Amino acid sequence: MKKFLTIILALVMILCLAACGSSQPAGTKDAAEAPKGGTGNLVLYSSMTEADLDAMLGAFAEVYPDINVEVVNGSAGELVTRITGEAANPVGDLVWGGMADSDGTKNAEIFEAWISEHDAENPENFRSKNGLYSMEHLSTVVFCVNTELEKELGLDIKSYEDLLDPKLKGKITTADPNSSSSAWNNLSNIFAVYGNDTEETWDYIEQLMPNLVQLGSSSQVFKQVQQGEYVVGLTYEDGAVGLLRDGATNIRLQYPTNGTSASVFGSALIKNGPNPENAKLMIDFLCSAEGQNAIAAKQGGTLRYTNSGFKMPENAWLTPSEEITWAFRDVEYLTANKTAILERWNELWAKVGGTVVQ
Amino acid sequence: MESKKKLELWTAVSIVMFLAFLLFLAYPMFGLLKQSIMSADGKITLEQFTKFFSKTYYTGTILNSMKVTLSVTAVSLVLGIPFAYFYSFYNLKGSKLLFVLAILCCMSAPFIGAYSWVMLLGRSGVITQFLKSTLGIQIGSIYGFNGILLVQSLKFFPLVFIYMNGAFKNIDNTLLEASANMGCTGVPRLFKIILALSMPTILAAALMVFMQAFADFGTPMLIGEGFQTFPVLIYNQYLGEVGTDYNFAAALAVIAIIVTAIVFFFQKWGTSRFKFSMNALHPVEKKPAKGVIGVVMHLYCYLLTAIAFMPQLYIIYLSFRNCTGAIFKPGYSLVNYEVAMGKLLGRSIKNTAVMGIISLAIIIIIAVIIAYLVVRRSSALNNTIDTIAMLPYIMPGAVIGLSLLLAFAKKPFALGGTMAIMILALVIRRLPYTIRSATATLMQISMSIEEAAISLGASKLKTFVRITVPMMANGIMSGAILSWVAIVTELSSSIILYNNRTITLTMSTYVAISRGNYGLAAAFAAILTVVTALSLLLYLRITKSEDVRL
Repeated sequence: MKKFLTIILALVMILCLAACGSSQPAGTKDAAEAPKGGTGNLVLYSSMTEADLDAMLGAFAEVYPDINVEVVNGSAGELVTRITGEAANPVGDLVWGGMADSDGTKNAEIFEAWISEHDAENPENFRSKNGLYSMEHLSTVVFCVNTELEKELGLDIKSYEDLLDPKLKGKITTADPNSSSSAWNNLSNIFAVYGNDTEETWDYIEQLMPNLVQLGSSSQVFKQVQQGEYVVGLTYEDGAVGLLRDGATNIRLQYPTNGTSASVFGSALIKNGPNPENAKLMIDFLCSAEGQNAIAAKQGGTLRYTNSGFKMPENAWLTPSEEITWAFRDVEYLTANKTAILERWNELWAKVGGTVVQ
Repeated sequence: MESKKKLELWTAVSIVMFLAFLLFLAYPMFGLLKQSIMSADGKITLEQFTKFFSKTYYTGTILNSMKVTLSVTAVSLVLGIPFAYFYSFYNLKGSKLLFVLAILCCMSAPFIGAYSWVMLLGRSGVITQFLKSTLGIQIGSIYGFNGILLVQSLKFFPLVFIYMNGAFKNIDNTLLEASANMGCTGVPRLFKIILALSMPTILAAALMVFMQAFADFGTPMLIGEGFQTFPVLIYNQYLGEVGTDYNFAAALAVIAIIVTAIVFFFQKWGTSRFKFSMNALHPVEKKPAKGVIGVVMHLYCYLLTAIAFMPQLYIIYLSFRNCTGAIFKPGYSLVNYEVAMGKLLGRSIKNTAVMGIISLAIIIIIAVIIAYLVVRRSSALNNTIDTIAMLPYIMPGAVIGLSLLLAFAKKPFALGGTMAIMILALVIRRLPYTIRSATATLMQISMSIEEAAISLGASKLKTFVRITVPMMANGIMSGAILSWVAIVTELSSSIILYNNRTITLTMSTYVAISRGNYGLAAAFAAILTVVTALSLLLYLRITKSEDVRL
């Protein structure tokens, strides 16, 4: 019996080795013939959600039906790490999602210094600041409020001051600004509203912190609010609005009445990718007004695009820009002082916030 | 003359092992870790380490991790040892079912397991609401220290169970009969004889639980709620979106390795003081579980398993619910499974099986060789090999994946995106389980049997293959089972190594979650549970027919 099993095991192993010998890594096939634009393969690294990807790929396929797109998912950090690791022999062509204006030039090693011509069609403060990302959508700071719990507590949450209510102790979620771009987005907005690095700003933060709970994941910030675990989530509109689109009835999106602002996100071309021409086609598509309008129509208006020619579709899930109070965010200042700001946040958090160190 | 030739065989094996480890383990690790003593512009400095120790924000995480991990280890031992005792010494009804369920408990992929607990026991959790509305009981929060302790203990006690089961099977019945003759039975015998004899395994199990609990970042990320642990810090530094600093991250990884090394040597010292050897010429016979005590035993085992298995059951239930994106709707259907089939379900299953079997085979062979080298041919070289092999254990899988990618994506190897690099990551990460159990088992086997074989004319190699290995079989299989479960649920190293060609079931689950499609994720996770359960039943079938009893 033992001998029989050993032989079977050996045969299985040989078969398996043969099987994995024949699987080729993506991209090596294409190295032989450089594809012209419009046909061939494309490898997209993306952190966007299912609905956004389906809409974008659907709209893209209508214009370029002969390009075969393969998607690799991951969070922004994971994708950057993967691209860095693959740098000697790149497999991916471009990135969509997670590449924010606050990154500065930190990813200059892995992305080509190429931006789409459509980037110039964006309003001035939404244009590419680093020559690596072609900017195409906004992620605006918003409160995700659980309406049932809000009613139970007898609150009406509209502004930053409303968040300081003692009834909200331990009931407001945020992600960790050290590791999450949406948490940094929210922190940047507090600076935009109360002033850059003023005592007023840090006083407010110190008062807010006891009410805060830090979660490890940006998407959990709004999901747990919908689940009823927390009352308010300091989050981003394109994440939270997905819940409304999927049928959630117990949450609402509240843009802080003090003023809100947005991080600008873009798409980037990976250095020495296997299909650069196709990648440029996709980036151009993402940044053009026609492309953005086509995708938004499929999405139902759940993403706010940047091109001046973009118009939010009728009956969009998101509130139109005209109805929102905007605050000015000094992105250059924040990016330059990010390390110092985060250090002060961490110290304050260890003193006042949720970390339990005995 | 003959012994000199055989000595050289084993020395050659030693050297080959050492070189293999240097290439596949030390070289990638070193490439990453050398950045820990450099600053951003490439100068040699210790500023990364001073940065870590200067802030309570950072040092606090190690304290938190130590506190929670030591507690989890203690609780897992307390839960797991009685479980193993009842299972090994008494005939429990439905023991096969218990075995399969217990192992399934320790195999929840990081994110979805913790998420399920939140859905059950969170503030608005299903059970929380039920207890509040029906029974008026307000249970504590699942978040923070207590939550992590609960979730991890329930997840890791099966590790203790598996190890102890292997050890108990090797205890010689004559020793138990002798102690009964001298008037020592029941509980005193449990402590004085049985536990004392299986001390190497207890320590091995404790070490495994400690290492796994320490390195687990999925659970604290989701239910830590501000209780920052160390691996979350490392993960964020390497894979965070904001301000990733590879130099600082490397320093963190080095500190983690030092902590591991200390714990590991501590355990090695402890184990060396409990060296017993026996041969299972008369393995323990299971007694029937009678009377009140029998009922208590059954109750304990089943209740514990049921509680630990709850999140998995809930996920299976969720997979049949209608779901749009992250919102579960009323009504049941098979829609999630239909969608799964369109999302590479077949390929995920095939890849999981293929990579799993190959990795496991490689691991078993290497582990047995290393165990032999360390126990029978103890030398500085072999101990070094042992230590190097244990190192990957404390490193987050993501770091291992990254180091392998950086080292082997380059031209002479060009392994980026292949199945080979994923298998390499699996082997490196999961080797320690099997090594530890093989080593512990070998320590329990007396040299006298091997010497008898040699004096009867068998060569050392023949003795090894025909006598020693079969005697180790129980210990090897128990370690192999754990390696198998860990391989099949591997996530963190696969995250940056996979692509759509090499995607596994666990990766499909993770992709579904990160794309915000929870129903689909539940379907994949449920299928993973079923596939693992089937493989475990197959294993039980095989070992039954093997019946390795000398």
